[in-house]
Amino acid sequence: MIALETTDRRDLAKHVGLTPQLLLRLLVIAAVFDWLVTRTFTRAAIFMPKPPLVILLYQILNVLGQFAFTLAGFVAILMLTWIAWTYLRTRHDPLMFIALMSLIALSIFFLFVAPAGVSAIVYQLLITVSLGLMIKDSTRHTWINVAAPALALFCATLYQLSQQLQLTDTSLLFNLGELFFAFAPMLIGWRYILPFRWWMILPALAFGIIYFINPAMTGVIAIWSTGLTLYLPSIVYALSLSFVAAILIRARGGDADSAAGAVLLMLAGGYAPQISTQLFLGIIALWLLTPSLATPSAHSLHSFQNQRQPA
Amino acid sequence: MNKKFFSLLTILSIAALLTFFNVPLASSQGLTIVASEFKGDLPANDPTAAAWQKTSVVEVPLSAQNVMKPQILNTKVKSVRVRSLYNDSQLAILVEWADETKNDEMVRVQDFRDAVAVQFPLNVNAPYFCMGQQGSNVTLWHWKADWQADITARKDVNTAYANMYSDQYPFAKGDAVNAIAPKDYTDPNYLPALASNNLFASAVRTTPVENLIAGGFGTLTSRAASAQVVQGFGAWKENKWQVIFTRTLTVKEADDISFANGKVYPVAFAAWDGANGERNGMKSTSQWVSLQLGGVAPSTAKEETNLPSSPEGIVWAGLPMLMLTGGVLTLVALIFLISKLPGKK
Repeated sequence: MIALETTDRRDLAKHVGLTPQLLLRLLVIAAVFDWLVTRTFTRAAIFMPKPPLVILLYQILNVLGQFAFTLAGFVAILMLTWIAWTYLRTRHDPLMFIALMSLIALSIFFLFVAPAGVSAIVYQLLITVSLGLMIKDSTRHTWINVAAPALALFCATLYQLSQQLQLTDTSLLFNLGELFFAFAPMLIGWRYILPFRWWMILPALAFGIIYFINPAMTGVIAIWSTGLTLYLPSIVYALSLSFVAAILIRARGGDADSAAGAVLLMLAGGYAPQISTQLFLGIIALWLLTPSLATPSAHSLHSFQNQRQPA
Repeated sequence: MNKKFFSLLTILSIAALLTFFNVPLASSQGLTIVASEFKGDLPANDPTAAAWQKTSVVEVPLSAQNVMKPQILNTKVKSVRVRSLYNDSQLAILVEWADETKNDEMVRVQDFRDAVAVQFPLNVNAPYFCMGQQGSNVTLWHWKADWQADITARKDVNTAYANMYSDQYPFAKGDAVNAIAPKDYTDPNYLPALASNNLFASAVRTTPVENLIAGGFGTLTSRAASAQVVQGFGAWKENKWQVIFTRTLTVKEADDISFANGKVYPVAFAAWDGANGERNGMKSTSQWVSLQLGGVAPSTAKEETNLPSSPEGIVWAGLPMLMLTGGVLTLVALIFLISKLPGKK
């Protein structure tokens, strides 16, 4: 298995000089920048005073944010194509390959023809199939990592499918998906929360303070930034942020690399993805959490790095 | 290493070029309202017509306006469902939303109307979604439930207070002791609002939709009476409002929006629940979504590129490119440095 994976990685590195690890890091950086700057910080501009210097700063950030957004979209397509290819080549899973490549092809098609009617329904069904196949890929030990984010994406997809089918009273699906999304960092990061450190509570505290001072503004920024409506008790979101902090800090120590990448991509993609790039980020996050022949172990990023690079 | 650097630079350069030329890489997951072409007259007065079922519906989420005071943070209308049809001369938009009460009277000061609005930007790049911004106006079509009711029978103070008594109207003829109708006035100049074509004083409603223009909070202005060209029809049934906006695809006014087949337009919605005291800025509003006429996408992003052509504009075009180039080089340097970090188990 490792030989096959190494062959794939070496092939890519040999031909284009890039490793999937590097693409993944580029994707995470671009996606997180787009999320934090374009979708969060710049949208908070409506609450800020606007002297000329602030306006200039926002204009610069807008340009950089647009670049990050385009880069994330481009690299996400490349990364997903590579993932699809590895499913075909290493796992001999043509179904997954076809599902992912069809998703990519349809998303590009929708740049020219807006999704509506049958095409939109087919797209949502393809997403459902891809998610189902990814869950099937998870092992007995890792399903708990995968289940929550996969179910969140699944509920959001079903909700959007229900809109296409013109069904009413499906807001429960949306709310259920948000519940899974909010709990996902806790299920992914429960093993990294101990030993508990005081700084892990800081993001939760910051969220709590902001929410207490101005719940309306916090709610608006949260929905613009992550797609979450904050309908659950705020303690859930605060705890979730603590677990995210724990995962990211542990990743610096090399212990939670895949989980950190997955959580960052999940947050950058947001809940109930509104554009194809956000959906791809969610799928790539799931792939990082799903050990298979495509990702040899849960510490895949570092295992890529530690193997010798071809000349 | 050289191959890796070159590949990385290629990816970043491609992304930079795509950004500069506004080439999108992400497609909508379904918040595009696709207006279907319809042969024949649009069902402008029938929200239950079968024709509406032949076009796709999009549910647009709304949230309370919470930037400018006064505001109501717990507004009632959480989403609207939108469909659209067009033929060779007109565009129709059907907006539906749940509302347990029908509030179509605004005679008493404590009563507020149900309403819904559709907003389009008048510039290529969509401005701030809530009423536009300075230098970037928006046009608004504001349907009002009380105006809809007025079309059937104009309501006035005597509608709400049937036993009211008026002393005397010196400039009116007739012996009526209740409110005098405008037609009873000997000289309409004694009804200055009506004489100046104030829409709110209009004795007869020709449309339940007011056509307005705005360029930021506090600038909302009604267009002239001659520019009130948006027709509407609204009906409340089984705790749901259904409102149809209809207008010609093109208009004569230079500062109003015209529509063309195959093009995509940003559009936003707002709704008011009168029973909740919602009025003016106290409303539920959406962000920009897209309205596309027809299923085929328009021409390339080049048409919509906002590149200035004047010499001083070259600076404005060059400045973002310089920033992008600087950003690309910075990013490349960062990634190079990160890749040099020692790996850890």
